[in-house]
Amino acid sequence: MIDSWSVRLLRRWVAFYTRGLSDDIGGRRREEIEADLWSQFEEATLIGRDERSTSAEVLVRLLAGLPADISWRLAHSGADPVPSDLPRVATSGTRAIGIFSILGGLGLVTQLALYAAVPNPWVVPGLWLYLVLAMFGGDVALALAIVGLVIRFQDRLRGAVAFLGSLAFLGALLSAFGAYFLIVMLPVGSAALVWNLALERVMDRRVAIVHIASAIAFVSVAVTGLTGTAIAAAPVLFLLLFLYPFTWLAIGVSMLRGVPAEAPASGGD
Amino acid sequence: MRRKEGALVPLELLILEAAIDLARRGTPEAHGFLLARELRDQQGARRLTAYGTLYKALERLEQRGFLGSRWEDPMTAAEEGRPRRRFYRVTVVGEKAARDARAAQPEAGPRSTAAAVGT
Repeated sequence: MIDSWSVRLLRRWVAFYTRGLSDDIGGRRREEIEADLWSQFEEATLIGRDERSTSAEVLVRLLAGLPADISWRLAHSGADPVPSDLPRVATSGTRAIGIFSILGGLGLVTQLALYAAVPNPWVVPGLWLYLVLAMFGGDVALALAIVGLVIRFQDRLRGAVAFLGSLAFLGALLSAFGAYFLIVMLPVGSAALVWNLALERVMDRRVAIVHIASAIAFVSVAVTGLTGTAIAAAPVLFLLLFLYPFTWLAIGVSMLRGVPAEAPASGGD
Repeated sequence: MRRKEGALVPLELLILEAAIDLARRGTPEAHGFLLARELRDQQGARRLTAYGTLYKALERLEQRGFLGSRWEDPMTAAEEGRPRRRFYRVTVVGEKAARDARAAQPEAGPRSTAAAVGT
């Protein structure tokens, strides 16, 4: 019945974030979304709304609900918020990761700010230098932060997550040296890493929720190039995308403060 | 939005009120999309509440005893050629919680929190 690309995307997303949950929980969510979709398209047919517009609405509803979906899944995976009064253990390793995360986040924020302030900062005398520094420095710093997280918490990461984290490291590093298209590997790997570390209570669940949602927006923008129907969802996408570097700042501050004592890090510094 | 312990967030209050309104108009049980449509129409919003936001809120309200729910008969759904729906109804505790929450925020006015619906 319903087979638009946004519906397929929604079904894949729901299947992904409900994977591994019992039928009572995951199956219920999948069935409720299916019933909702059916009713949404039925209403559209009744009022004579075209399928393209309904598909765009499906995409917007999907994107706007990403933080809630991630939060819901983390809650059902037992990743309770880390109590703020838990003692934290900071080591030279976590501090280094924190510093690189903050530098990387600042690099991305600077890039976004420059592009928001000037349509083409590359042609503005003097400005391009800041842009190069922000891009190169930011990407390298994020690459180091990610490889630091992979090494520091290697005994807590699933194999696939460590692999994606390594790809993110390579993507960020190579994009700093000109392979810009590889930057898409950064949000994919960082989202997987942060998800895993939130489940291990190394990172705060709220930071993880925003990070993963913004990483998904990052990938969507990079892959779709915001063409066609995706433009309808652009405000939501951009809002989420702008949060991505800020989540790196939050991760950096968290690492500087140390790892919650309940989830002590293993491995050397 | 950060939740106060035990308090209803604006979307939860709106969902409860929408379900209460529907019950008063002869629909004692409502499925997710019907509640989303009711919220959109009551708020004059342009779009429906996001899937994740809506179903997470419904689950939370049910866990707190403010809503009860049941699956509809699969035969009914099959006869109409659609997926089966889960129906929600407001409990007595939910009605009281909605009344109390609304009374605690008179300055907001009834159903004025449009921003809560969209996200």
